[in-house]
Amino acid sequence: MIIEHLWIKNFGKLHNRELDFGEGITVIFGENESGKSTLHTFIQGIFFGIRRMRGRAARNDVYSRFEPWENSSYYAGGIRFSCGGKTFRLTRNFSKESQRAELICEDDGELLSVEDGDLGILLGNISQVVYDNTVSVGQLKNQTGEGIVAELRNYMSNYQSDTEGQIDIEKAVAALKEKKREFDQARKEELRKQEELLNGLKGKLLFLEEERAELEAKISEAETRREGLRQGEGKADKKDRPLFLRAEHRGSMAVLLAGAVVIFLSILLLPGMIGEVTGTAAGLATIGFLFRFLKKSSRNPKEKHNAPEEEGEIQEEEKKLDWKLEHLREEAEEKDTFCENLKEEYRELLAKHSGEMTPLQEEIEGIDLAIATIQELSRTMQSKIGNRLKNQTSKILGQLTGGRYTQISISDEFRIHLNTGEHYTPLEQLSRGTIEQVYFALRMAVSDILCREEELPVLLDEPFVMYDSRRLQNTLKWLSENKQQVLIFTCQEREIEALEALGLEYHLVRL
Amino acid sequence: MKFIHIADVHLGAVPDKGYPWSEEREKEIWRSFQKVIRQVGRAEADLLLIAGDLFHRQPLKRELKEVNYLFSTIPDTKVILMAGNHDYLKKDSFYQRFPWNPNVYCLWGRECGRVCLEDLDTCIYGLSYYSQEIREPVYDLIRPVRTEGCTNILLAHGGDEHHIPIHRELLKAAGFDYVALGHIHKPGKVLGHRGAYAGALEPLDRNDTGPHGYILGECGSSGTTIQFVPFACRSYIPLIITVSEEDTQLSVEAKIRCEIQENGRDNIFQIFLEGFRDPDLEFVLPDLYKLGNIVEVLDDTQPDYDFQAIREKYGGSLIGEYVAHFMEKDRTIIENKALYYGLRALLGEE
Repeated sequence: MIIEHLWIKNFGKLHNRELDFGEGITVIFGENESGKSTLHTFIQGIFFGIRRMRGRAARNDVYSRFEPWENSSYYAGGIRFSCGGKTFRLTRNFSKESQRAELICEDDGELLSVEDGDLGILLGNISQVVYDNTVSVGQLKNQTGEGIVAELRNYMSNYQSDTEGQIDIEKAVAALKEKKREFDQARKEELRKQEELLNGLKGKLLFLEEERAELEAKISEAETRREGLRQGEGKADKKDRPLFLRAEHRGSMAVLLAGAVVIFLSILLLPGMIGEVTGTAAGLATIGFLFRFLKKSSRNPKEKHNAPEEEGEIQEEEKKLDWKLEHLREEAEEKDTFCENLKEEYRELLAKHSGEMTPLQEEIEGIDLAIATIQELSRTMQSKIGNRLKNQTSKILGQLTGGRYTQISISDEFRIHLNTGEHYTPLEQLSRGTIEQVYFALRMAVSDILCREEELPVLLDEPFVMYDSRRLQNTLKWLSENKQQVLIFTCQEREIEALEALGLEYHLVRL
Repeated sequence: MKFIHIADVHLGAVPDKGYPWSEEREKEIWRSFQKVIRQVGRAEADLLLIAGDLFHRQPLKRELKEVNYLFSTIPDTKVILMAGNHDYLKKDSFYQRFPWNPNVYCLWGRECGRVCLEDLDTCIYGLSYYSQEIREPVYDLIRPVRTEGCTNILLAHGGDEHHIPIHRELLKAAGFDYVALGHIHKPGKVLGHRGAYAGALEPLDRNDTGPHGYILGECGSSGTTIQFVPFACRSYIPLIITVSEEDTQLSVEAKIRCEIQENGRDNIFQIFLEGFRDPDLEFVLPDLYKLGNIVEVLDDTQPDYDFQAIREKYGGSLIGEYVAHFMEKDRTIIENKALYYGLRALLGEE
């Protein structure tokens, strides 16, 4: 593509200007503040449009910076360029009220559609960012050699740096990891709560099982006794046990004790009259009970089978035990069912926790996927163009330095080494001028690789400040031999002098 | 012949465990059942059809005593019971051994059986679950024995792949006067007036949105008519909050508060945040949970990025590749999140 002519109605500080360019090198000469950067931005804007940014960013975006102070409705301009043997006219209105672009093929008058991508095809389908980072070469922002090396590395790591700042992959990944840490914390808390629910159930279950075991013990005890009664072994059973432990005697035993206490107390209280009377009465009652108790316990073992009333008692006890057993078994069954229900609930809860993804997990997975994708894409991009980039950069660098440096190497961490003949020297140990040459070669190489479909004009904004005259001549010579159209923006006479010295043809535009 | 049809009461269930209203809901399910029994008495219904899952798990005996007591308060109504997939007849289930009131009839058979009520000229067909799943479409081939001068009702539970799949045409062709269905918690007619899901009496989780209650019906010489009666004391309400770029945390909170007020504070809400938010804004979800009975907040908002424009502008660079990578497919929720988080990080927006 060759830019032939452009006209600016109103764009920043430029008003009603028309400029002509031709093939080969054009030097755009102007003092500081004469509008070189404005022109540079205009060319970018005419091709890619100027998008307004949102909110805070809008205050200082490109649109606002170049919006004319007066007649903002004429924030517009146009360009004529040739491409693939045809000439096109592209006009654009930048003002936000009536943003519009019109592309016409001048040879046949056909109106093409910018929206549908006709312009994109003419530009070789490159994006604005690729354009910014390849054919449109700005000044290096860093002044120190080290800073430039770092900038270079970052440039290579994503082959781009745009006006809004460079992409720093490491920084992006670190930010993502930080974000993930926040969610990990919350997820930990979530897991703790899940665990708490499960443990609550577990605790309940343990408690129930304990109760169940106690019930089981009661049941087997009652069963043994019931068995004993049925087989007539009740006697033996009872004989083995101390008298006072037998349930049927516990009542009498208590009365006996109470009587003894009363006697003891009344002796202490003597000789009070009332005390005596009470004491005597209590004593008598106690003796009565004692007598009955002794009589009962003495005859109990032997006469059990004989007395019909004892038979009745046993039957009564059997009934009681049966009733108690039934009750205990029912309770046990109830507990079993409850246990089973709890176990089921536990299983369901466990399945739910492991099956369903919580919103927090989704966030975490999202971040993980973002990190993985960034790393994967950066690796593929790197390997896709890494090798070609190295070869192409080496080739251009060799031509620029007159064969002094013909080999560069780029490591995985984007460290660049130059082959100085005897050995590979790290870039940071070379002079600033050499570093800038490498930078230039790299950008030209990237543009060769990324903009293959259409060769675009190369725009150079004061790139040769640090060059000595020999380097400058080599570079200009290389540009005139290798590039269809080169626009050099400069505020010095050096480039003009060098071109004159080389005897190369060039156009001069004074702003 | 007048009937009330309920299903999926899930007595004993504890909905939304861990949430503040959970225990209250457990009690409410019992209260609602108690109330519906009272309603049966008031309506003087001849039949109470309970289409399975009366209990959430295996019933305890003391629970059956309570239920039986409630049935005893409507002696003139005949209650028909079956076991569903939740309260299926495990070995030694109390259901079968329980001494039910004379007005309670149970369809405990593994195969289809029937209860014939001569005074009502009505036969009720049905069976019970003996496991948590039945994959055979056992209802497909059931046909009423006698059709002349007799009302035939099928009490059925299921209707999905794992719980007795039901083919509507076959069910319709069987010729029942009414099919009282359970298992699906959402109430709805399946065969017009001649077959319906009563739905869960009380909603049990966030998926049970919409009205819940029972079906009141009548079978007569002119056919069957039914109507759904909303009865549940609370609802689960999904709230879709559409967010725009202008919204902030507080404006969204105000929107939610307003919606909750309008829909009734007692209800339980599931909140879906949708739309496009300011890319700089991230919602503090825990704060949103404090605004009412909120069981879940799902943030599906997307940052208001113009992905197409970004892709064009950054084409060929990592950002462009990144956006293109995700734009070229139908994104899952996770991929959406990845796109947003990654882009934000790459653009260096904190």
